[in-house]
Amino acid sequence: MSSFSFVRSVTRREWQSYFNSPVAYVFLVIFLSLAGFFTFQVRRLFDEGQADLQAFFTWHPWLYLILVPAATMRAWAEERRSGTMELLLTLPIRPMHAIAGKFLAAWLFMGLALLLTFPVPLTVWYLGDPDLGAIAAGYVGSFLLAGAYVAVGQFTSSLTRNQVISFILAVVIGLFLILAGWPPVTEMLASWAPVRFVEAVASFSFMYHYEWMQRGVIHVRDIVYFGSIVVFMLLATQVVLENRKGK
Amino acid sequence: MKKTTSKLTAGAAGLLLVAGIAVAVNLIAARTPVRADLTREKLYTLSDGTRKLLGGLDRDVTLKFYFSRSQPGTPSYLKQYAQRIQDLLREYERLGGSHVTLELLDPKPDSDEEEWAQRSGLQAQALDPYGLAQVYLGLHLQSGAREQAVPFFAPQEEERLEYTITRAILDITEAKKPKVGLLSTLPVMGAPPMMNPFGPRQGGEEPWAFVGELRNQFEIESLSQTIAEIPTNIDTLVVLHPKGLSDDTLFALDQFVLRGGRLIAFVDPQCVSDQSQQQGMMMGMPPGPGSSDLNRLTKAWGIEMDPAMVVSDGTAATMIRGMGGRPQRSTSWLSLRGANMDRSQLAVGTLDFVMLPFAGAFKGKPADGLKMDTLIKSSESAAEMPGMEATMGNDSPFGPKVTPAGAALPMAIRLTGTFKTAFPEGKPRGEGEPVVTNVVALKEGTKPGVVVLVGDVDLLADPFAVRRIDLGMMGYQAYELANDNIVLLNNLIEQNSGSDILIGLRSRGTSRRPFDRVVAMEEAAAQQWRAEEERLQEQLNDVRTKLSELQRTKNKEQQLVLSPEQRREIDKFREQQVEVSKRLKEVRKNLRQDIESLGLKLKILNIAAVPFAVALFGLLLGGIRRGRSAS
Repeated sequence: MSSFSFVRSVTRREWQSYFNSPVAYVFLVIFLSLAGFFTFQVRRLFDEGQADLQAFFTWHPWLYLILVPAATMRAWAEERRSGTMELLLTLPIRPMHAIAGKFLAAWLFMGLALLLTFPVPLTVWYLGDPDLGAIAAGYVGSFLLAGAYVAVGQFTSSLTRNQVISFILAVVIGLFLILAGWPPVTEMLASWAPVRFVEAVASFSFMYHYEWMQRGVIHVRDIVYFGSIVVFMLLATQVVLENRKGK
Repeated sequence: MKKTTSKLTAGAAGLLLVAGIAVAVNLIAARTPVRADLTREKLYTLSDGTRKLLGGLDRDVTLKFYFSRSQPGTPSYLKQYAQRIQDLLREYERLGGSHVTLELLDPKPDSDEEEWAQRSGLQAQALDPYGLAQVYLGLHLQSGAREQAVPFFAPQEEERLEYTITRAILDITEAKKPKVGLLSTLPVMGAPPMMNPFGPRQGGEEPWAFVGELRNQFEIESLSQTIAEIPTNIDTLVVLHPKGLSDDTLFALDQFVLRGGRLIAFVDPQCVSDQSQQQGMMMGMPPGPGSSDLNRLTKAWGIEMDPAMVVSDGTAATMIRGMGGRPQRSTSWLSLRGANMDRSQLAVGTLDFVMLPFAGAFKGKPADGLKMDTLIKSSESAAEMPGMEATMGNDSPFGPKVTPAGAALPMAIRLTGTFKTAFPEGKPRGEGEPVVTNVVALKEGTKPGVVVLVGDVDLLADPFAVRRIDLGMMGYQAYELANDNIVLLNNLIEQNSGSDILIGLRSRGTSRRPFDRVVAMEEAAAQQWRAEEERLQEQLNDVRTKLSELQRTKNKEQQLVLSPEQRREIDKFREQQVEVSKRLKEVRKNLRQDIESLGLKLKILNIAAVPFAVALFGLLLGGIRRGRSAS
């Protein structure tokens, strides 16, 4: 069996386990209703009268911050707790297959969540003449962003068998990665630090690399950024798991 | 134990390495400007002209962008627009390399930045009627000793955004003011006062108002009507009313275009500003045509204008003072508006109202190698009619009917590309002149040229383009623009002078996308409301008049005492008045209701519909599974 099919079987197993428990449904219901609520009630998409989805995409980093760690915290912690970890790692597959498989399952699940937000672009398309290219770019950006959060969540989940700790760690890391580029923070930094420094710090953040895709432009540097986060986090997960093998 | 710690350190070291590689890769990627602008209007991609300008900059430019981002109450569309401008300016900075620096400033009230903004010539816009809250949204450009400012970026001008910024950069980095040649058979440059040794000095004639306007931006050089060669230091030439030009001069114009010059020609089948006609009439000569055309040249380029015909368009008719001083509706005195302009063309895209008294139409197809853009055109129900008839006032709606051409008639066009000469025989020779063999006559354009043809000259004349304002100070007079006629000329020169950087700059799209459906609903509701309101208002007026009549009769007959019937009548009418006003208020409230209910429905749909479906699906699936496991 090739690596690809190993990964695929892990992915499928994970995916099914999502839907075998209420987790997936609860997550989807909460994510979708919150996204709708923030977009239409808080940001008043209808009253603002503009046929673009900025009011929608702007919430994703914050929604992901809380919800993705909640969805990924059980990824490894569960295995460790139920004792299936050893079983998994002794199968004739490399740890990276399992890691990649779990990651992909979680990422695809986020993709499903994004797909289920279809009423939102449908609404603006019904009401006006939105820039569909910009909306497509926004979804691509959100999907990549979700992947980064998932990777972080996978990593923190592998660190501990306690799901709550995993959740908190993931949120903290996510918070750092958002705030480094959040305008109020960058403006505060700009008041005492040189511009270059502020920009360097900001370039580490999710916001910095998500911003342009929200507006409809996909930069190579943003794709590379999210890709790097994912790769780094997955490798870090591998290091952690390999060192925990003994325990 | 040792094994595991060394494994950990190996792992950690490996991670550090990966992190380092990742950072390096990201830094490289950050420098690579590879991106995909998926927006429909390519809002964030600068055009080739701007890229060329920025790539070829040889001096430093500082851009100071002022936006009151911390001002509370700034409407969100303004914030979004400011963000777009900022993003665009960032692109300018990126493409300008080390030559362009961008500074972002927030002119808070009473701050240093606000003072700089005001000194730079920026204008704030008031957010409230009292002018207490103000917002700045402008740009100050500086290069060396030259500076310029965009006082306020009006959202309505969004389509000209890139053009405005690029033009400003061009203006401050260009070595000199662009020179524009002016060749006119009409005394547009004014005439010096005539010396009369025997009596009072006769006043001279002032130059036409448009000359003063142009001088603000360009260096105007007046050329003689009989010129045989256009000087090489002139790249842009405006020709006004080329009546009776010699072949030599026409040849000069031809060669000018072929060497890459920009020709903006105003011709006219019926030029009322041509005084020579009137002088001729005064001397008893029969009125000749005050018409001009450039068919000798344009025929070679595929275009022709019939100098005896003017455009008659019912949709653009103007009320003018006809024969005998009576106001008359003239369908050849054209008042052209937005629908007649090609919105995508920079020169006319932002014009609101242009007045063309008796204009001609251009017909034909551009020759090979040329592209034609129609800038101004008539409606499709327009037709051509003889110019003389038009001036006689025969174009009233009850006059002789003209058959519509069935298609819009172009009255201002632009030809670009490689032109072929209209003088294939070379430089025209007079009779008996020897053949000059060492004169190099271009047969074909060596550089892409531009020819703009406008079918009217009168639009630039003072009576039709400006309004005089008498300031009363020693007879000093100022003027204000009466319409966009001179703006058109300005735009045409602006767009076609200086360098090819601006020629290709198309008007960019807008980022504003209103909810068309909601807007349509609002308009429909407003219409409905207007009808209702008018009806109710009439009712109200009726009641009021009846009421006041009653009061009057009361006053006339019985000064002090009201009869009980009359009192009852008054009360009834007062009640009616209150009823009707209440109904009016309700109608106004109801018209928003449709829109509000749509909003509510969509809100619920988006917040609850899919989650509900998912929950239902999950419950069903759970129920099935439980049922299966139970059995």
